[in-house]
Amino acid sequence: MKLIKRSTSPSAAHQKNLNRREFIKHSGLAVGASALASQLPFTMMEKAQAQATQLTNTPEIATIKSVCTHCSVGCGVIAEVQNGVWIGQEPAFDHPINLGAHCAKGASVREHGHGDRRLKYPMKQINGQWKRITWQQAIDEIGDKMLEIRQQSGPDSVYWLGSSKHNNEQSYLFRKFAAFWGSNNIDHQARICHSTTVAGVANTWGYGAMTNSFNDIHNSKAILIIGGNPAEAHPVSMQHIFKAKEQGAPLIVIDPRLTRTAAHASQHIRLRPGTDVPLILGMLWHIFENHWEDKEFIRQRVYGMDKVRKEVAQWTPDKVEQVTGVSENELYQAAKTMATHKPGTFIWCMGGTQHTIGNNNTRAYCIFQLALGNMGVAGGGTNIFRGHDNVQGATDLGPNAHTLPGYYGLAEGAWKHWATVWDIDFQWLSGRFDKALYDDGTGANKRTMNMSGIPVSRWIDGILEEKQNISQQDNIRAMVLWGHAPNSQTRAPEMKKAMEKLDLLVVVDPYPSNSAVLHDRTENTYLLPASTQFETYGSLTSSNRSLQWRDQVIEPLFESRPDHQILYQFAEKLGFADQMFKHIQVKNSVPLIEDITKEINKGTWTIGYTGQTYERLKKQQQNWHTFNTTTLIAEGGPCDGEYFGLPWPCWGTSEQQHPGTPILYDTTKPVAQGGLTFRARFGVERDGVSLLAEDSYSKDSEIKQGYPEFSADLLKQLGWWNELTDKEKQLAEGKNWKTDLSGGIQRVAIKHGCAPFGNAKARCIVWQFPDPVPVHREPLYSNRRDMVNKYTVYGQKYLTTFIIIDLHSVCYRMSKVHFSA
Amino acid sequence: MTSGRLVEYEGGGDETRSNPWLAELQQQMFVEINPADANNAGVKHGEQVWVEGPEGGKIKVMAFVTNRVGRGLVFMPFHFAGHYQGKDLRNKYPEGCDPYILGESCNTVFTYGYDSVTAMQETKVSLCRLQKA
Repeated sequence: MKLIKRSTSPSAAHQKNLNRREFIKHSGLAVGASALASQLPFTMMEKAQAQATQLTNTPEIATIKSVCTHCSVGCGVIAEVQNGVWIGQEPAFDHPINLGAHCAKGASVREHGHGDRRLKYPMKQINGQWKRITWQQAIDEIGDKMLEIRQQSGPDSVYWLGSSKHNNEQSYLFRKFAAFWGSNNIDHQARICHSTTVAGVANTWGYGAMTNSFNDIHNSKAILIIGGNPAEAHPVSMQHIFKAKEQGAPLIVIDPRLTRTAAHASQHIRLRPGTDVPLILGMLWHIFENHWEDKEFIRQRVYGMDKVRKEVAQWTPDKVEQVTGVSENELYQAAKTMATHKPGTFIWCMGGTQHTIGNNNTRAYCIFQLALGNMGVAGGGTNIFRGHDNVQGATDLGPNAHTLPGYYGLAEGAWKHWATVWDIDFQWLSGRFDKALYDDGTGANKRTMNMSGIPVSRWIDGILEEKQNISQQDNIRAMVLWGHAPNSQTRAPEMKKAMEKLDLLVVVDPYPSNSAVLHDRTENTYLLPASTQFETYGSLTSSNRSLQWRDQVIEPLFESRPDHQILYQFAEKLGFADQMFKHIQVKNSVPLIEDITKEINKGTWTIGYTGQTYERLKKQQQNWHTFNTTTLIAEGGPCDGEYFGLPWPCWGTSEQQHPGTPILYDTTKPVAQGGLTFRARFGVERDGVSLLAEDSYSKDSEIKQGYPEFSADLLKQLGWWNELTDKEKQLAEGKNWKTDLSGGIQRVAIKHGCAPFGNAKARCIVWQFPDPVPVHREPLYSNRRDMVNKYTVYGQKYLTTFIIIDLHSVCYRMSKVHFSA
Repeated sequence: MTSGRLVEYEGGGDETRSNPWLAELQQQMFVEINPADANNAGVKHGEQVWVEGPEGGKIKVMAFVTNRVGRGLVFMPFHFAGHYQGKDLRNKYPEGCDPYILGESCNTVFTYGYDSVTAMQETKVSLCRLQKA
C-alpha cells in the first residue's frame, strides 16, 4: 500500500545503470552543476533531453517488514530495498498498532540505512587521538585487559552495561554472557526508566508490565495520564487515545508542565513535582468520601484496602492543596470524572517513576485503579508506556543486575533452573563467580552470584567509592557501555571523574555517543561499531507485551557487527564460547537468532515466553493485516484466534497454541483464551487473613475460589497428576509451574480453566518494602523547606543498597523479594 | 527543575541527533522558564542562561520563556550531549562521527537521589539556580 503513487518512469540512477557509489557521487555533482547553471547565460544552457534509455537488469525492489526502533509503541515499518540499498519507506497502513501513522522519528528511520554519522570502524585512543584498528585487534586487546583485571580483581571488576536497544535474543544472550563471565554487574536503561513501575506493579498483582494495550484504550470511558507526555514520547499511541476521546472519553492530564499532551486534555492539573502520592491519595479521599469505590471488586480481589483508607483519611483536601498545590475543586472534579466514567484507564511514565519514592508512586496509581475496580477489564488497566523499543523485552529477558531472564531472581534455585536450560554443570557455572562472601546489605553474607549487582544508576559509585564500601572484591575497573547513552544518567561531573579513573573503557554502539567525549582519557578507550536493528533480525517486545518479528532490512553498514556476533567474539576470546553456545548454532562467528529464540522459549515459564516460537511470530508478521485493530485478535486467516504479538503470558509449549494474553487479570475469558486472575505471588495468607481471591475466578475455572500457584504437589492433591503424560511426569516431579520444563503443569492447570500462577487478591500493602502502604516523602532536593521535616526522606534505617553503601545519610536498599519470580 | 522528552529525539539522542531530518527540526538545547522567573533573573527569550545545580554542575543553554511551565519550575529535555559546562566537545569525536546537533546535557546538573527499592534515579525533581550568561 503506497502513500504516493511512484512514477513508473525510470529514475536518473536507473537510466545510467549506476551503482550506489556512483549515484551518490553523480548526484553530488549534479547539485553543483545546477547551482553553476543558474549563473550561466541562457544561451549556454542546453535543453534537457529526456533519455528514454531502455532499462536492463533493473534490480527488483524488495519490501521488508520491520518495527520502528525509537519507542515501545511498536509501529510497523515497511522498507523498500533495492540492490542492498534502503531506498524507500512506506507507512504500514495495515499494521494493527500504528495503522500507517509514524511520528517524526519513525518516518525517518530510513536514515539508519545511510548512517553518515555512524561509527564506521573499531577505533582506539592513542595519545588522545582516535585511530582505526581491526576487529581482531580490538577483541584481542580488550579481552587481554579484561582477563588481567579478572586475575587481579575478580570478575566483578568488569561491568557489562547492556541496552534496551538489543532485540530479545540479544538481550537474553547478553544476560547469559554475564552469567558465564561470572558477575551480576550487568544492567540496562530499564533501571532508570520504569524499574519502580516493574517493582511496584509486580508487587501489587503479580506482573510488572502494562496490563492492557494501546489499542484497548479505544474502550476507555475516561483516560488519566500522570507524568507522561505521549504526544512527544509515544506519538503514535495518541491516535488510540484520540479515538477514545472522540467517542466521548474525558482526558485528564496531571503534569507540572503544560505538555503537548496536556494541550489536548479535558482537564489539566499542575502538581508540584514529587507530590504524586498525596495527589492520588487526595483523589481517593473524594472517592471514599462519596462512596464511589467498587466495593464488590475490593471484597473479591483486593487485600489491604482498609489500611489505605487510614492513610487516605489524613489527606484532606486542604492538606493536599498545601502539599501538591492542587485545589480541592480541581481534584474533586478529576476524581468524579474517573468515578463516573468507567472503565477508565490510568497511564503513567517517567514523571511518576523517576523519584526517590518512585515505588510508592506506582503503587498509589495501582491502588487507585483497584479502588475503582478498573483492573482486568477492557478499557481499564494501568497502561504503563515503556520507553525504548525493546525495553519491555530487555526487562523480561535481558541485562538486569537483580535477576536472571524471566525474573527468576539470583537465588540458587534460579541458577539451577537456568543451568538446566543451558545444559551446563551448575558447579562449573558457580565456579565462574567470586567465591568470597560479602555483606549483602541486610547483615547476611552471600556470594556475589546470589546478590544483585551494581545497578546502572550507580556504576559511577562502583568506580569512585572506597573499596571497603562495596560488597565485592575491588572497584569496577573496566566499563563496557553497550548501547547506553551516559547523558541519560544524573551526576555527569562525577561520571566524568569515574570514566577517567577506569583502566579500560569500551563503547559498543552504532554511534560514538557521549561516552567517547565526556572524559579526558587518552588511552585504553575503545569504540566498537554495532549494527542497528535494521541490520539484523529477531524479536522484540513492545510495551503492551506483544512480541513482533523484525526481518533484516540491509546488511550491516561499514564494519559494524550485530550485538550477538560481538558477544560471541568476546565469549570466544574470554574462553567460554563452547559452553555458552552449546545449543546455539554459530556460523562465521554469528550465532543463529532462531536457536536463541528457542532457548528463551525453553526456559522462560514465569512470564509465559514459552509459546511464542519464531515460526508463530514470523507467521503473524506476514499476516499483521488480519488482526482487529481494537481487540488485536486475528479474525480468520492463518493466525485466526491469536492475539497480535502473542502478548505474554503465552502459556505452555507452542503445541498448546495459547493465543496470548491481551489484557492481564481479565476474568471474563478462560485462561486458555487469554483470561487471567491476579497472581498468587505473596503466599496464601498474611496475619491470619487470606490473600486468595474470594468468589472470583476466571471464566470456566473448575475451582470457583482463590487457589495458590500450581506445583506438582498441588496437582496431586487435586487428583490431576495422572493427566500428565509419563514424559511430563518425569520432568514435572518436584517442580512447579515456573520450573517444570515439560510444560505439563501449566497445560493441566489451564485445561481445568485455572491460571498456572494461582488466583489471589491484589495487595495494597507490600510488607517487604520500606513503606508498605505508599506514603509521601519529599524529594531529596525539595523546594519546600516547611515540608522537609514533616515528610522526611528515608533515614539510616535503610542502610543498604544494591551492593554499595550509600554516600549520604539517605540510604536505599534493594528488596530481596521484589523481582523474584 | 524537571526534565523530559521531545518528539524529535530519543533517549540520549546520539542516534536521532545524527539524523539530518530530525536534527533540522530541533537545533538547540533549551530550558523552559516561566516569564515571571525569567524577568526576575533578567533573562529574555532566546538568550543564553547558566543553569546551576546544587551539587556543582552547571550548563549554558538557551532560555525558552514560556507559560508551559508554572512559576518556580524549569523544564529541560534530556536528549542533548556534546557540550559540557559551557564547552563544545565537537572536536573530541572521531572524525565524521559527531552528531549534527550537540548541546548541554541536563543531567550535568541533575543530582543524587535513588528509589528506595530499585535504585531508580531522581530526574523529575531537583533544584537549580538561573543566571544570565
